[in-house]
Amino acid sequence: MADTPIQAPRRFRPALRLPAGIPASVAVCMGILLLVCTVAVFARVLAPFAYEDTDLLYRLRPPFWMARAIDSHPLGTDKIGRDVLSRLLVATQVSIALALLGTLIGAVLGTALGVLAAHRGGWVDELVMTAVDWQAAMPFLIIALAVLAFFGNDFLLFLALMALFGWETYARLVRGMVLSAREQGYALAVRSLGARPGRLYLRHILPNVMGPLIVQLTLNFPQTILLEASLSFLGLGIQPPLTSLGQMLGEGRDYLLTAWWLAVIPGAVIFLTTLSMSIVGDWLRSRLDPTQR
Amino acid sequence: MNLRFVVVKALRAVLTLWLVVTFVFVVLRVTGDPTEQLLPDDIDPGIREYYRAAWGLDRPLWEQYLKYFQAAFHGDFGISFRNGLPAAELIWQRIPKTLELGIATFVTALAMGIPLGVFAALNRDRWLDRLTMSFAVFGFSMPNFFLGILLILLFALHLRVLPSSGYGTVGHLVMPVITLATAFAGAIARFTRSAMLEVLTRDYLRTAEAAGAGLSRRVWRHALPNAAIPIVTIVGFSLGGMIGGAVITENVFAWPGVGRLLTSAVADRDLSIVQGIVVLVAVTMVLANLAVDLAYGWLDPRVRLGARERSR
Amino acid sequence: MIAAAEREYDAPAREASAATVPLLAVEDLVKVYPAARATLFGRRRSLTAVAGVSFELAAGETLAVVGESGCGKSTVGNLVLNLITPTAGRVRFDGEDLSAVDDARWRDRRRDMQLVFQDSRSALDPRLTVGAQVREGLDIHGIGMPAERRAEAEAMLEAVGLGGFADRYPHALSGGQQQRAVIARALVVGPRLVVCDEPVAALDVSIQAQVVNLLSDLQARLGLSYLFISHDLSLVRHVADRVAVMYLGAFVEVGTRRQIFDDPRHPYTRALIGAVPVARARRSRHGRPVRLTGEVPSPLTPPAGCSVHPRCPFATERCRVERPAALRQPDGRIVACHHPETVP
Repeated sequence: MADTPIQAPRRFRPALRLPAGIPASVAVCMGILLLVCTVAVFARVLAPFAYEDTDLLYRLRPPFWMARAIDSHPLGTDKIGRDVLSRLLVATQVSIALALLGTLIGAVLGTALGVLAAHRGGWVDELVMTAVDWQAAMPFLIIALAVLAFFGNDFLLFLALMALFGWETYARLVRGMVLSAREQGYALAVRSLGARPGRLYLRHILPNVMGPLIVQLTLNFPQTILLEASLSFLGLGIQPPLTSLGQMLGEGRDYLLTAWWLAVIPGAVIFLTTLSMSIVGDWLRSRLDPTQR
Repeated sequence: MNLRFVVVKALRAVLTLWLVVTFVFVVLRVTGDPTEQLLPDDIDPGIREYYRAAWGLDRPLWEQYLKYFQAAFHGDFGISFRNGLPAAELIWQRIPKTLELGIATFVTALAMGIPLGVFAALNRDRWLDRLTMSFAVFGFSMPNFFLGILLILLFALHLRVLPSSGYGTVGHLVMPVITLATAFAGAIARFTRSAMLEVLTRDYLRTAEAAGAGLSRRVWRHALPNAAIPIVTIVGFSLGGMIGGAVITENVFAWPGVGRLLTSAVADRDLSIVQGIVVLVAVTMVLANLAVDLAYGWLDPRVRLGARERSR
Repeated sequence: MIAAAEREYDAPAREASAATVPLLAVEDLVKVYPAARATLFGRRRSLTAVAGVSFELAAGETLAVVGESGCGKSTVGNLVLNLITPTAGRVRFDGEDLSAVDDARWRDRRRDMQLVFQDSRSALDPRLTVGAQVREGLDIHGIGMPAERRAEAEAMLEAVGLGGFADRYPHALSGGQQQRAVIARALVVGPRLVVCDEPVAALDVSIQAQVVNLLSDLQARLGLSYLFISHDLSLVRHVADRVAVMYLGAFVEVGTRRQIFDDPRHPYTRALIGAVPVARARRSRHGRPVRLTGEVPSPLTPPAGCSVHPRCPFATERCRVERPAALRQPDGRIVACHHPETVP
């Protein structure tokens, strides 16, 4: 082979490779996310009490930094004497699991519809994109509230709402990327080899558009957490006895004067999680696409 | 801007509204017979039939649809079963209060966001820029219900300078507006900054600089008008988020607006009111999008029909 | 030698048909694209990329299609492989009319008809190893036992001079190596026809010769037919048995390599050949080379009559009005010109 090896073209480098130079703020946020995820996974093991156990003699106890004596409830108790720490752990688990599941289902749904729209074109494309425009035009919280009003609250329906939230961003993104990836030579080559469309999309095109898709996931995930928290805060989401961060906050707001921490603690967890996720997501996006600063 | 562009956009808007009303109708019929939801289970079948006839539920579906559509067109969504008043009237009473909140928020957010974005762009990568962008990320990630509660804790319960909730004086308006405007101002600052950065590096601005135009003249006369398109877009797109935010903010501060009416109607499953508000929001959004599209065409003469809006 | 590429498909039938039926027969292929309106309420326009192209290709033969960029030669290649759906016309492969078959049959047929294309860099999936991509054709068509396919793909890579490269990713290959991998991927399924669309245009000149020689070797060893699309006349002179000269979507002259290069008839061919520096002073017997004036017209607004007439120094009134038919000349070539004999 007399060919002189040429420099590898940059744009074909695998898109998501974590380089050494992670900024400190991003590293901190990653740490927070890791902590939140660990808590979410091991919530029931870590919780010192059962989250739904009440103790009416032990109500509205303050957290450790305000308590005069050492207490068995590090973050105090709520209005009917349930351990706040245990509830917080379980609530984190519920909120994260729900948002994660919803984000993933939404991503799969949106990706599938985006591929379908790009592949079929014509009226299928029009239909999908009209639905995309329609959902993008309507505030999702209003759609969610209307659905809850029409069909009543139900855990599966609530999960479906989480999944329905944001699917259109994936559909639009994937449609655009598939349309341009399909013009790449390898797509034509695979087609001319006689591959079925399924093979072309699953084996070749999707892996090549995965990077932006993952970034979109990191941007959508905190928004899903906020949606869940908002609905639960309004008392229209997760219903007692189950709990979630938004629901704890919603319950706690009635005690702002006497026990402000009941609202502030879950609120701070929501805020830190979404903030960390946004910062990590922004950073990922800027790594992927240097033109977007 | 040519006529065809306007006509096509307007037709699309009408089509969207028609879809929304149809969708609501279909969902209502899917959820079941309203007489079963509204009347006691053990009621006399004759009375049930009487109501079915009175509400037109015995008519063929297409006739019900036409009737429904006609009524919706006139803003009639039936009677609130909670207090027996027409839903439209109940909603109508609340609109001025929500508008008051919304307009105050818009003005505040623009008054904060645009100057912040401009100064951040002019001081690119310096501390003011960093601070502005941190504020934008903060506003984006801060759940407004939490921000509202923190404000109540600080200003109402700790400092005792503002009323914690309710409606009436200017003081009542301060915290809800801050709550709603923070995220919005952050987004506007962010977009203004990136739009300005793009415009500032273009040739005609360097030409203006070479011609001796002062900084403020370059910014206000040359750069900002050209950065207006992305800013208009983000303002249009933020409206949806603001409506959602308003629902929550009104709840946090017991603000007697449409959003609070909606959440209580959802909790009570008062469907007439929910329908009315859904259509109201749809009309608002469609009109806002239409306005953004037209403003877009007006600000940028290059926008033509051929360039599909989907590529945004 | 490579087992997969050497495999004979019902060999007796193929031999019998080779005498009577050409491997590939293309009849009156047309591709028209709708174009945007010039004004909002204007007439809907169309762009004719290929305006009625016919040719035949025998087994083991190389037909080169030459022309300036934008003349529609790549479109012809894509139409033959049905990667673009023709507006009109027929493609017969081995006697089978492929314009009538469904998608499944087409996928099956792709095993006999392969494509090697210009931009080898984008032609390879950046996220899969070269070996996996060469193997892919075997997987798609279920050729051989799954366990043997890897070895078969490696043997094919060996045959194109890429032995030991199976586990590398495309970005770790040089341009010439990438193009070899593209060739290996196309040939592993054992095609009989290969459409080579500017196969070396993106490569350095020093590497072009290697890849072209590889293509020639493989043709001799495997009995391939090539539809060789190129704008590079010196290259075409090296590889082609017959040459078709294309201008604005149609063939203006089709003949053997000798006829086209040594004795071009059509004014456009003469201009094209005359523009190539030749080592030996073999000029057309018609004296001075032809010089065309002006620019290639837009395919959106093709000229009336002969498509070459606005630029042809010999154009007559007839050329401006009447489109010349492609006529077979006494020496066997086909020329679309009203005055192939009379021009100086």
